[in-house]
Amino acid sequence: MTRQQHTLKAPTGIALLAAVCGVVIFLPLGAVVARVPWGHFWSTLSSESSTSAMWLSLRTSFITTVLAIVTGLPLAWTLAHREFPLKSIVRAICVLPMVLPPVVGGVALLYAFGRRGVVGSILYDWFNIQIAFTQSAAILAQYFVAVPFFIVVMESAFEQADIRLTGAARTLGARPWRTLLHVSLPSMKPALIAAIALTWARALGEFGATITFAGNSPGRTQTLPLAIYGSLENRDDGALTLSFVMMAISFSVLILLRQRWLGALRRGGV
Amino acid sequence: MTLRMTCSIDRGNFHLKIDLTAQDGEVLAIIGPNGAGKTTTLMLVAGLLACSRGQIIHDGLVFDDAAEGVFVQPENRHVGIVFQDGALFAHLSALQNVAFGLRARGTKKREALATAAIMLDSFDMGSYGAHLPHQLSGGQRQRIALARTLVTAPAILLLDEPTAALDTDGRDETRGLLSHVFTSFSGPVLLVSHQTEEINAMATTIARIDVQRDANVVATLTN
Amino acid sequence: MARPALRLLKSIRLFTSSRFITVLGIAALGIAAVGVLGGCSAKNASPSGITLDVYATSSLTQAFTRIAHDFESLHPEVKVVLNFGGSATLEKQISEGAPADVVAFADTANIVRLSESKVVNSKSVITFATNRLAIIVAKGNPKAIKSISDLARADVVLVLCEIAQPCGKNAATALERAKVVVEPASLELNVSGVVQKVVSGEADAGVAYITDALATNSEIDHVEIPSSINIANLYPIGIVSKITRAENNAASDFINFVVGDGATILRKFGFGAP
Repeated sequence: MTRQQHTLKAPTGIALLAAVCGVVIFLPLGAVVARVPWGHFWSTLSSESSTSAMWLSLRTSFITTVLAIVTGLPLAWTLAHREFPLKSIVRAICVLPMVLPPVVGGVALLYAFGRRGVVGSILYDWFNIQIAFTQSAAILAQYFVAVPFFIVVMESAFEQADIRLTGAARTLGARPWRTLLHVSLPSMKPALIAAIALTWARALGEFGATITFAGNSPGRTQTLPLAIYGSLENRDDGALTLSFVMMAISFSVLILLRQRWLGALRRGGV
Repeated sequence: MTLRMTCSIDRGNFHLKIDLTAQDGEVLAIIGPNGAGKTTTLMLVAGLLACSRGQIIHDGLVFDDAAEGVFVQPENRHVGIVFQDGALFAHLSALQNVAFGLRARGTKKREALATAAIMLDSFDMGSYGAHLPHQLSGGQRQRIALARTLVTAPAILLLDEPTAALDTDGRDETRGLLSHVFTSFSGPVLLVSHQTEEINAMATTIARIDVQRDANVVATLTN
Repeated sequence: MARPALRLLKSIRLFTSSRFITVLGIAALGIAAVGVLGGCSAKNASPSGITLDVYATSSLTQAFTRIAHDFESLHPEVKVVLNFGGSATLEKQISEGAPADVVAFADTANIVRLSESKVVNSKSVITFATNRLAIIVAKGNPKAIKSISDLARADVVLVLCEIAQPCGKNAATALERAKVVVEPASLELNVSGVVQKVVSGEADAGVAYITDALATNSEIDHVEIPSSINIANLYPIGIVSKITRAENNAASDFINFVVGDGATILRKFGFGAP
């Protein structure tokens, strides 16, 4: 099989250019791993601030991902299957948070959901509910920056879906929801998994919008990225240890998901 | 039970005008150049596309009436469609594929699988129930596709180039099966095909799409 | 038709040939490398001009911007580039090699660390200003906060600086001295974050510097913290060791200006005398 792969000549120099990209990514990550203080690795990890940040990050990013799937799928479906006035503008706006600096996202969230915000003021004045500084704020910040990734991948997947599959399902008597859940989504498994992975990864790494809107409160809004930044300030080696942990968690999840990807592709063969 | 179609559809530059009648027991072959609208015609009958003007009526029941704003969804039309390479659900086994329509219409799982198993047997695919579509040959997949459609007892049967994606053996095998199916099928059959032998062997009537190409593609289908 | 068309065809062939693309790729890399490396070495591109990189704590933002502007008019050959951030963050960056020439912090601990590691020339360090803490509140003080003990009230949403920042450390000390226990809603990464949360209305109160209170007094009000419990920060300024002679001279000039004419500007923004 190897000879087959190498017989067809690759574009000249492509390996070199590819190597440059690889090196620029590997080097900083490798540098972090190299400078992790392994001596007090476990004591750092098991400290209260570390464990609370880790659990908070896992909890909030998980909830964010679930919310993104439940709300993002319908939007992606609608964008792919329906025409309506100003559709391209609506689509562009839905994807905008991907392009905005996250801090700007945080400010936008404040203007909408802060105590003096468009919606937030109603919540505060009538129900005495303040969203900022709560775990919900952290989730909202992550959701805002991560859901566009989900929408973009899934809209593309819906557009490329084989309409004969949905056509067959509908004529066999399946109503639209059953067709979506039992036929469309299973046929888009690789894209769905990629969308979920991207969304979760973005939510996990979210910093700018969180610090601006949700604040930095250990146990409530101090997610791993905030804890790492705070650790840098505190001059303890927690930053390196926690960064390594983030890398390890993400790495394992992405590796695991890739197996599933390939499995789904192999099985979905036809 | 007559299928009466006096329907036109516009899609961008493409305009298709259909004036077609099909009776029970009739096997109507639709022929014409590629891109003329043969598949579009089937999609209109199935309810996967809507008429821009005109109507589709079957057995007195209005499937589609553009002027009156009536449109019956595909799942309520009892129209079966078989595509070129089967369009089987890749994540389901042959048995689960066949049972799909039954379960979608409310049959309980156990009963649906039992009925599906019987259906598979009658198509000589009984031992392949647990196989996934990618493990089957083209001809076998078409058998499953036919079984899946027929088990729901559709009132109209549509076939979109059923043997085009098959090799010679698969083709012969499937043609034999189709002849058999057509003789026992009670409703009208619309068959889109390029294969002249197939049409000669199985069709009772032929409808051709005439195409005029200039700025717009205007196609007419009458029988 | 033939000749211009042929020439066009030839140039298309040239631009898409694999060799050309490889050369282009390597050239692009080369340019990028020069750009990256060039940024590290001699910062002073033009022989007639000197760039002075000043890394200063966030609370000095407005005062130093003014000071830099006035300094540049007196010393046209020097361009002052200002870099603001939390003292602890800046200190970390500088110890990891960030190219600062002059550093100014909100407390002495950070600069002592840099002096001990010889990153900053200890002989150049002087204290040039002081600051003290104040409680900042929304305009009109709707929650009627009168003293530091009000910060413990359940209906007051309070934000403080992170303990690692000088403003956070001092706030903690002041609270301790006043024997007040609080539950802050957020520990901001720098004092600008505290101000931002109060200005936007998200927090009812924050503990920041008096200079911040005065700088934003169109949008917020402040409540004094009595000097018996307040902490005065000493603001040190110093020169980084590994710089050229020309930059060193410019840095000395800058520090002299800060202590001289700059003092009036600092006073105007609320800073105290050293």
